This record gives sequence, C-alpha cells and structure tokens, in this order.
Amino acid sequence: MSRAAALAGFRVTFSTMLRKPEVIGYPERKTPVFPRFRGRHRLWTHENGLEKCVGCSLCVAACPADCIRVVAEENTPERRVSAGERFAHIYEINMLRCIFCGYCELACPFDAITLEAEYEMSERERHAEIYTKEMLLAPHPKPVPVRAEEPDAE
Amino acid sequence: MTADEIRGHIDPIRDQFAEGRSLILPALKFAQTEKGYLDGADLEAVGEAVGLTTAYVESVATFYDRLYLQPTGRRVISVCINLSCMLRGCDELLSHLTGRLGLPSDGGSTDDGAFTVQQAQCLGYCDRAPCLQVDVGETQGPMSLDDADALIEALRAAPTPDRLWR
Amino acid sequence: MSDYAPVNLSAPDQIEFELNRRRLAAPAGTMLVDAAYAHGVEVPVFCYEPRLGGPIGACRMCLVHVEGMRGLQTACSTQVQPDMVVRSDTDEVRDAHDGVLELLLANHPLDCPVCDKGGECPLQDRTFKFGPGKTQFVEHKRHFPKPLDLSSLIALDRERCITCFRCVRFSQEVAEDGHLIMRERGGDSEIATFTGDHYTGRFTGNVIDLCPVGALTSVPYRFVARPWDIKNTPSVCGHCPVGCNLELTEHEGHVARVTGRPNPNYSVEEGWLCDKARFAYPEDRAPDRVRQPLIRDAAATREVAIEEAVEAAALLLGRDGPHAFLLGPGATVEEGFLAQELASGPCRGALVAQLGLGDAPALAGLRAAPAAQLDDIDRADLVVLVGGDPANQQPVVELRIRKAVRGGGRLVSAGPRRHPLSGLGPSYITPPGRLLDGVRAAGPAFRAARRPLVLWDEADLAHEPAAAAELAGLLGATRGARQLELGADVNGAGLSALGIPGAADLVAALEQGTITTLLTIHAQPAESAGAARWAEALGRVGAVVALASHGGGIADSAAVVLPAATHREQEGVYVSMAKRAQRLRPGAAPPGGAAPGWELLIALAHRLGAAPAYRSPAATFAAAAAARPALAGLSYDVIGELGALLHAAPPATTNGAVGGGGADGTGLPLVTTLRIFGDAAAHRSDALSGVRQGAEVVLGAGEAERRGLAGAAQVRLQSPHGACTLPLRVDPRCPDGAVHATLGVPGAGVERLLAVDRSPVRVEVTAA
Repeated sequence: MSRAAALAGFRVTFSTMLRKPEVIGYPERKTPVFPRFRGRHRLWTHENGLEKCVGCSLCVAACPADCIRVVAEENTPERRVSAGERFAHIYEINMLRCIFCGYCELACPFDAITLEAEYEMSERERHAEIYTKEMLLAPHPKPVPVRAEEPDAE
Repeated sequence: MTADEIRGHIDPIRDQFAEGRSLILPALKFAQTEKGYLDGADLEAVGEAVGLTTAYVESVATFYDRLYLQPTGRRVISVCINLSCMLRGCDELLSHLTGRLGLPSDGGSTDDGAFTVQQAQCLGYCDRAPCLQVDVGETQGPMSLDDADALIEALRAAPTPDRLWR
Repeated sequence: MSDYAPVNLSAPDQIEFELNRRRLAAPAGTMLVDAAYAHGVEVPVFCYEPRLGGPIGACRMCLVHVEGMRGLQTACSTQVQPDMVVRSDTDEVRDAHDGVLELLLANHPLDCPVCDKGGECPLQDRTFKFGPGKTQFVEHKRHFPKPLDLSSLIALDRERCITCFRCVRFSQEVAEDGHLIMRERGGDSEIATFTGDHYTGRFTGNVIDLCPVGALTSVPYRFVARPWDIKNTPSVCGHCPVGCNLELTEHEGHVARVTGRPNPNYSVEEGWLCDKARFAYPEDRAPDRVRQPLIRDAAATREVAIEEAVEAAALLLGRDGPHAFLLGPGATVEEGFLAQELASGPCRGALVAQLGLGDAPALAGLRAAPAAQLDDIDRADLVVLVGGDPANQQPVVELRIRKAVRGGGRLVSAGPRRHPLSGLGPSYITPPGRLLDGVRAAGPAFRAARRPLVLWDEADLAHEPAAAAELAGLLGATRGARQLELGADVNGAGLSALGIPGAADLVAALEQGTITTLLTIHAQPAESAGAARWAEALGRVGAVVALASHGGGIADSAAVVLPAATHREQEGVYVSMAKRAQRLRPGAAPPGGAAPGWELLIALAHRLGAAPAYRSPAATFAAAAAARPALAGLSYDVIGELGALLHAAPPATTNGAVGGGGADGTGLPLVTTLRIFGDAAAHRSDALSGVRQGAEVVLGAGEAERRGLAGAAQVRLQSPHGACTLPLRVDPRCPDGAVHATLGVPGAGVERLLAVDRSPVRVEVTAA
C-alpha cells in the first residue's frame, strides 16, 4: 500500500479531528428530532372537549407488538365522552412493548392517536410503563424540539 | 271496527281469492271506512278476521299510501304531482288548495276535520292534467283553480258519506 | 353463519352445467349459488339463507349471467339446469355487483369503527371483495335515532339495515312468532314490531346471527369486544339434552358471547339456538360463582389453595366407607366415569348415582324401536308428540316440528299439559296417569301415516308404563315408524351409558345414616325432585364434599367445596337425547382457583393413592369407551366436530329404576311444567333478567271455582313429600282435573312436592 493511499484513508479521520466538537447540554437541552420522528403517543380531543377516540380497537388490531388494550363503553346522555356511540373506557399502552412503528396512527379512522416527538419514557417501576388514557390525553410533560424541516441528504 | 263486522264483509268474497291471506287488503280497506283511518284496535281486528298476526297486518297497512294510520279529514283530496300534472300546473293547484284550507304547502288535514289534502303519484289522467281525486271517486281534470274552489264548496255542502272509502 | 346450503356432490342424478368455462355437476334442484359455492366459486348473497325457506331475491346481490336469458339472473333463485352456461366473472356481472353494493351502501352509515359487526360483517367483507371503491352518492343519508332496543337482548340500528328481510322471514317463517315486520316501503323501510312492542320469544337471538350487517346486535355483547380480540371455540350447549352445537367467544379470559356455529350441524340444531343457550353465559361470572376452594368446619369457612382442598377431600374419602358419589344431570361422561373408577378403586363399595331419571324399565320397549335423529322430524308426514313440552324443555325441537308442519306434515299431541305447540294440530290433554287414552286417540292417524315419527317425553312416560307399552306396540306394528326421545336431563343419556343408576338407592342409604362421605359432582340434590327428602337425608351423612361451579344449596354447607368449571369452561363429552356423543370444548379458563371436574377428580384419585393411568380428558374418555360397551368405538377423534352416534344400548340398571305405581297422596294430580327462562341458569344470567320467568300454580277455571280458589292470590300445595306456597293463576284454557306447577325455578320449592324418583303425586290445594 502506498503512503499516498494510506494518507487518503486517514483523510476523514483528520478532518473530523480538526472539527469543533458539538456538545449539547442534555438533559437541559435536547437534540431536535426530525419532523417524522415517532415517539410517545398522544390521544387527541375535539375542540368541544369530546375525545376523538371512539374505542374501536383498530389500533389494537394493527399493533404488531400487541401493546395496546382498549375497553369500550357506550356513551350515555348523562356521560358523553366521545363523539361517536362508544368511547374508550380504558386505553392503555405498554411502553415497554411498544416498538414505535406508528401503525396505530395509520389505523386510526378518527385521527385520535398520533406519535409525537417526545422520547423520554424511562420510569422507576415497570408497571408505570403502562400509560393510561389520562396520561396519553394530557400534553407532554417534557416537550422536545422538532427540526424545522428535513435536512438535505448528505 | 270489530272482527265480526270485518268477517261479514270479507266472507262473501272469500272464494274470489286463491289464498286466504289475500283478503287482508279488502279487510283493511273496509276497516278504515268507519273512522277514515286505522288504529291499533282495527289492525288487531283485521288480523283476527283474516287469521294473520297483527304485526303482519301492520306491515301491510304501512306499505300502502291509501291506508291511513293517522286520523284524516272526512274527505281526502289527492292531488297528482307526477310529470304531466306538474307541467300543467299541479303545484299551483296544490298550493291553491292548501292555501285556501290553511294547510302546510305539502298537504295535511284541516283543524275542523273536514278535509285532508295530500300529494298523490300518477292517477292515470295525464291527458286531463292537472287532475285530482276525492276519496275513491272518479279522477277529475283538468282542474283550474276555479274548479278547485267550486269542488271545495260542493264538498262542504255534500253530506258526509256513511262509509269513508278511501 | 353459513350462507349457502350444503350440496351433496356425490349424490346420484347429477346435472352437468358450465360455470365460468368450467364443466361442473350438481344434483338436480340445487340453487345456482349453492352449486357454485360447492365448487369454490363465491357468488355473493345477502338475503339468501336456505334455512329460511325459499329464496326471495330481495337484495339483488347474486346477479350472474346465464347464456340465453335476457338480463342478469339472481343465482339464489335459479336452479341449475342441464347444460346451463353461467358466468359470474364477466365485466357486466362485476358492474352489477358494484352497482348493487353502491345502492345498498347509499343509506348505510359506514360507522364500521363503532359497529359491533365490524370485522365479521358480510356487508363489509363483500364490499371489499366485490364492491366499488367509491360511491357516486353525494346526497344526505337517512338518519334514525340509534340504537333502538328491539328487546332487552337485541339492539336495532335502522340506519345500517339493508332490508334483506332475513330477520322478518325468521320471525314469520321459522320461529313463527310473527313479531318482526318491515314497516313502510322503499327508502322509508324499517324493521319493527307491532306498535313498537318488545320482540319476545324463545328464539329471538337468532336474528343477530342472521343479520348480514350490524343492524341487529346483541345487547349483552354490545361494545364488549372486536373480532380480532376474541377466540371462537366450537362446543355444545349444556342447558338441555338436545345438544345444540354452538360457538363460544372468549374475550379477556371469559366467555363473552355464544353464537350458532358458522357451519351448522344439520342433524341437530341446524344453526338455530334458543335464547337460553345464547344468553345464559353470564352465569359463569354470576356473584354466586364459586371461585376459590373452601374448607368449612365448626368454627369458620376458609378459602384455601386447591391442593389443600383436594387433600381435605381425600382425607374425608379415605376414611372407612361406604361413601357415595352423586352426579348432577350436567356432569360429563368423563366425570361420571372417574366417579365410577373411584368407587371401584380407592373408595371401594361406594354408591354412584345420578340425580337424573336414570333407567326406567317401562321405557325399554320404546327405546328399542328404530331411533330417529332431529333432522328426521323435517321429513316425517306425521309427528306424534307424547307428553312433554319441547318448546320449553328442548326448545330447538319446536323449530323442527314447526318446519315439519310447514312442509305438510301433521302434528298430533297427547300429554298432560297444554303447550305452545298444542295449537298446531289435534291435541289430546289427558290427566296424569291416563296418557294411555291420549296415545290410543293418536293411534288411527299413526297407522294411516307413511313416515310417522314419535317424540316421547322421558319424564312423562317413565311413570306411564301402559302408555309406553301401547306406544312401543304402535311403533312395532308400523313400517317406517321411528321414535325420538325427549330427554329430561342434559347428559342423562351419557351417564346412563356408563351404567349409572338413578338416586333412589343412594337416598335410602343416606337416610339409614350409613354413608360416611358424600361427594356431589355438579349436583344440587336439595333443589331437585324430592328436595324435602334429600334435605332430611343430607343431614345424616358424615361429611359432604361438593364439586360445584356455583354456590347456594349444597355448596353452602359442604365440608369441602371444590370449585368446578362450568360446561362452557371444560372439556368433556355429553350424550344428547338422540344418543349423539358430542364434545364440549372449553371456551375460556375457569375463574380464580376453579378447575375442570375431571382434573379435580383425577387429583383426588392421586391423593387417594390410586393414580389412574390417564391424565387428560381425551385419555379418560378413551378408557371409558374401552370399559363400557355402550361407548364402544368412540374417541375424541371419532366424535370430532359434529359428534358420533352411540350404537349399543346402555346397560340395564336395576337399582334406582323408576316406573309403575299410582300417584301418592290425596287431592288433585300434580302436573309439573318447566319454563325455558325459569331455571337456575336463566335466573343467574343477568342478560336474561328481562325475560326470566318465575314459578306459579295454574288451575283451570272450573277447578278453581270448585275449590273456592278463584279469588286466591297465593295457594299452598301439600303432597305426601312436602309443601310449597306459590302465586295462583286461573287460566280458562287450562284443563281441569289437575294442578299445574312450575318446576325448576330457584327458591320456588315445587321440587319439595315430588318424590326422589319423580313418581306421580297428588296435592291438596288450599288458599294461603
């Protein structure tokens, strides 16, 4: 192997050595994620406060990791939770099982569930990893910045 | 109307029908001649007379326009609203009649129980459009608005028939 | 539900025709849709349902092209003809399918995500397979308030209805209750009942299975599960001896629904279920369900682990005998055989008996006559119904009898009670003990018939030897005549095939105080015939071990309670009244610490030091089949999906046999009646709370007048065996000369009036 060829091989190494190090002060600062990043789920409500989810269980059918559990109940005039005939009485996602494939979002006929940017989901107890409907309906406690747009391919 | 009265009407014509079930229409038409419409008791009586369940009698009764399950006026005026009549002005005829009797524009019954005006599908008098029919009488046409006024007056003056055939 | 009729492609006289350029054959008279389906071509249908009678061509979904015929033809109402050339794959046909589906969906709300049918919906499936991808309709769809309660069991969503008329035809032409109708016409059509009454009947739930869309859905199952959350298991009903084939739906560990099988057993229930079979499943989770093993002593009742309970039971059964084993009518063949094995092994000398009728010598002649299956009723030109009340006791038989009568057959009935089928033909009501008169009255019609079929009630004829002998004589003297027993006990035929007798000897032994330990297996003696005597006898037994699925009765006093699985939660074999062995398959696991009876009995045998060589229900049944000639040749594999017939007669058992003898006591003869929604299962199931029936005493108007009871609200019945007090109803149509009382209602106590062998009694009726 010629010396020139060896040096050429080290070109990337040297150029990286000379670059200014990029340090982000995590967890105070977070790396912005790409717009299509798939993180923690969020359940949505209509503007009038009714839940979008009607408890149809299509996300359960779509889920390859079998991590969603839905128990539906019927809306009554006294207790109207969703816009449809039924609502999700229980909506749970086991975050330890979830593989963040986003199929639930694709399957949802009412755009009730989406995968958001948030990725910090470590808990101290295993059972705390089962996220309930109330947790998923609330705005994310730890927001994550999203990049403005997709970067060009390098 | 009682089942016995209905039997009295249908028994003489029983042999004209291959199937006993077919008597349900003559029975229903006769049953409503008393009040001009059918209530639950009438449907039960027809069922008893013909030998069918009341539910089945109701399904037949709801199918036909000219079997009434709500109270009607003493005379029922059916105004044809199909194509020929529409081209020849049935809309004006209908609105004239309903306006004169103080009814909604698509028909209804007068408060004094004298008249019911309703829309009807083709009465087969397209050559004499616009036409209308009173109860089961002969279809009349062409009807001008004046003819309609005259008809109302004539009907007001005429005695109420014994049997309200519709 | 299967939408197509089965086609016998190996029958003689096949007609050749061409379908989609293939040369095919089918028997003459086959409908084109059925012939096509049998050859693997699906012509979509909605309204077509061969079990509802002739085709009506209401939905226009099955259009096909038939060469030489103008326009497209409905394949559901066209029979195959020789050399007919049919195409179901042309563009014209595809266009027609598109158009019909587009029209059917014009008013359909497409609320599949909230619809219980979504995922198992023929309209959804066929729209995907045959329909257009989009619709040209932009107009507003019609709207109705939804849902409407058609009854406490069925919800009606009129928006989803495609007016296929299946439910209306079921109500008018199969159940013949005449409740369901189509109101109005055209775009305003809606399913309704007369003036909005509830749809009541014994078979209403079938319209849920029949509905090809989500218009008729089950109220107890409403929003409970989606089709991808469930597991369906084919099993057999355990509520009456007919043995209807059904499917159990498991959801989150329990049975959440019961439906007819997608492939009906045409020899048994033909896909129809009664509402008790369909809606009794919530009893598995009833509040009185035994969930944990219990040990009860003088001080307290303790919940224990299953090992400890089995140990305690083994200690009781390991003492010096004699012991006794009592099997309830719902015990499986395996449980019966394991009890017998315990009695011949570690508990040598133990008495084994069943609470059911057992063998009755009076019926031997009848049982020896040529036997029929349920589907033979359809083809009979004369059905003779002797005793019984199939509409309430063996409900699906009612549909078969109605079908026979619709097809031109005649029904003659004789028996002690008026019942819903009495009106279908001549009916001879005879007082108890005089059934012979009724049989004689039916004799001339019987001799004149070509294919007569006798349906005889086991419980009524067991004590009428003269009538049974006359009937057996008639059967023997008429060529082509056949008989079908209307059994009294769910698995009575199975337990009798093992040679297990009735309980007369067992109760006598209990009364003598010689029995050390009584093991009851799904048995509630104090709520069965002879309840008063049972209660007395149970007080004299050393200890009781109860293997029970529900509390109450014996489970509330037994020293050890072993929590058992119900018939929806365990494997086993039931033998139907038509001697058809069929397999129970567990729809779900039993709750809490409960376990299947066979498992508990095998564990008990292990603890008693006599480990059997088998440890699965299949092996247990194989051992039973090898040891008992009546079960010879049977195994789980042989029984398979649709069951297998027992060929050998059950062994005759001498002890505990019932029959003969006049009525005990003074006063009026007692006629017991059963009501379909009046038993313990119906009273436990909260789904049936809207239709469940209570107990009452019914007297004819003349009889009530004569006894000065016309104004009485409550009457007291007193027989030599016991007494009870019930509300009185005076019915002018009820025959005089007997008092009718409802049996089987929990807490009513009519069982106390009876003897253990259910022999006839007379009762004194007084105002209470």
